[in-house]
Order: sequence, then C-alpha cells, then structure tokens
Amino acid sequence: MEPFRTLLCTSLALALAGCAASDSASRAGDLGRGTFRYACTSTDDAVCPSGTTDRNFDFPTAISVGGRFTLTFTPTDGSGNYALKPASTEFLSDDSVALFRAKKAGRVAVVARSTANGKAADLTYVRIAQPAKIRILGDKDVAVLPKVTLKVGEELTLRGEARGSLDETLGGSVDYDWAVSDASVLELRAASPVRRMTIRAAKAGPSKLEVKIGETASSVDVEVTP
Amino acid sequence: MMTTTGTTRWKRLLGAACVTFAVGCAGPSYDRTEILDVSQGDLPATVSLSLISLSVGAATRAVIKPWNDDNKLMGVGVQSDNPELLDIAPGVGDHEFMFIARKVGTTSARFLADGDVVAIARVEIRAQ
Repeated sequence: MEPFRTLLCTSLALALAGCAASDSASRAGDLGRGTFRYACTSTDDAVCPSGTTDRNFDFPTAISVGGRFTLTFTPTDGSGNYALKPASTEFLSDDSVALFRAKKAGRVAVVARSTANGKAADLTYVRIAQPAKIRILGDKDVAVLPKVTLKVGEELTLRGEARGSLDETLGGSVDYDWAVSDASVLELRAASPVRRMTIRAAKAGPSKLEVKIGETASSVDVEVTP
Repeated sequence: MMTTTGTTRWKRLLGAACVTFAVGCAGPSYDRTEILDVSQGDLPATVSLSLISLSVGAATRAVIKPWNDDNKLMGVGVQSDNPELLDIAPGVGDHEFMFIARKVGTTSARFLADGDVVAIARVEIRAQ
C-alpha cells in the first residue's frame, strides 16, 4: 500500500507542477473576471524560444515595438466568447482575431468584450517598449563575449534577444536582420529576418557580425583562425 | 343663473384637481447620480459627472447609478458625443460601463436617467 501511496503522491505533485508551468504565461484581468493568456506567434519571440506551443515562460513585462503576439481571454465563469480589442490602435493593431502587433511605445489597455452582446468584461494593460539593445546569445542562453574566435570550417549558432531599457526581455515576434562585415570570412547560413542565425567560418581573418531590429543594433567581433 | 354659477364652480374645482394631480401624481423625479468603483489601472483615470479624463490607450470601468427622489434606481445610460475619441461600452455588471480612450482630443459625454440627460461631462483624452 505504501509504495502505491508514494507513487500516487508523486504523480499528483508532478501534475500540479506541470499545471503551474502551463499557466505561467497567463495573468488575471484587472477586474478579476478572467485570465488573459499570452502566446507567441513564432520562435522569433524571445520570451518563448520553443515557439507557439511554449507555455513555460512568464507573461512578458513589455512587448517590443513591432512585436507580434497572440492574446486570448478565458472568463472565470466559463461563459461565452470574448473578442479582445486594444483601447487605442495607435499603440496596438488588431488586424486579425487575437493577433496583435505593437506599433508605438507606451501603455495600452486590451479590453475583453462579449462577441454576443459587446459588453465589456475585463481588461489588462500591455506595456510596449522600443528595444534598447539586442543581446546575442550562444549555447545554453549564455551571452557571447564581445569577441568570438572560430576555426576555419567551424559553425556557431547564435540567437538575438530584444531587451528594453530596464534590461527586461521584450516579448513579441520581431524581425532580426543579420549582416557580416566581410562575407568572405564569415558566412550567414540562413536568410534574415530570423532570430536564430548560424554562422560559418569560411576563411581566416577578422569580421564583424551585426544584428538589427529596426534602428537598434548589436554586434560581435569574430576572429577566424586557420 | 344658478346653473351658470354652478358650472363655473365645477370647472374651477376640476381645474384645481387637474393641477394637483399633475404636480402630485407625476411620480418620483430624478434626484442624483452616483459614480462608484472607478478602476485604476496602469494609466490614471477620472470619471465624474463634470469631467472624464483619461490618457489615450487607457480603459477604466465605472459603476453609474442614477437615483430618483424615492431613493430608487433609475434606468442608466452614458453616451459619448464622439465615440472615435471616447468609446463607452456597457459592462457585464449592473450599471457598469467601460470608458475606452481611443484618440487624443476633447469631446463631451451625456449621463442619462430613464432616458433623460441629467449631466453633460467634459471629456479630455490626453497624450501619454
């Protein structure tokens, strides 16, 4: 009996832990009538690197200008369907159902309104920020040093991460554009815009790798050795 | 002669009764409007009978209750004179409304009790 109890308790604990993780991308509405859930539209969103099915992340504290994301609302009482609308389309566009694009830095309320009668049930605020910098990450989410050394023929996969002025990771799928100063030394193995980029050392010499989101840029010096 | 005088008296009595009926039997009239539970989110918001002030992009919930002089709730309505600047949506709760600041500018909003305008507020939507 005792082993069975232990197994049951362990299963319950694991189930609860799993549930907690799956809810981490949600937060309660300001009026307490339901839950707003954030989801990524692609792997180009820095808050959920595993893509659209990723739930193991916190509701982002801010969204990057230009960032695309999905937001849905689930009422606490389980009644009806709700459409989400930004208070002002100056800040957030709602081109299609539940899919939003951040347009301008600031704060904007997103209101959940019944699709049946238009009544407003709840709201949440979204903060939108201009990317202040882009962190370039290597394996295991470690930020790469200002200078990277590769041997000819070696490949390295890097990821960009949009960050705000408070050094927070910015949510939203954004366009990361990569470039190298000397393409004969360093080759880009994928076409921009893409958040994850593999570079290949083609020839000995110095080169610089740059990634940009709009006007915000970050770079790393790469030295290729024979 | 008697008949004429009697008719006149009767008419006066009827007239007085009509006036009394009109004044006394018209039913309760509007007394006041309460504005309660104005939600405060990330952006400041003011909702009163004289002023509605919000930052563009803000949304705030308010419960609005008009009362008559018998202390009974009246039917409520709130209308924006320019919904492109300030959208006012009914809420899911009783007497609840959501004020949604769409664009910067000024306009006005009307508070209604049983369909009659009882107050007109100045609306100011400010830049963030």
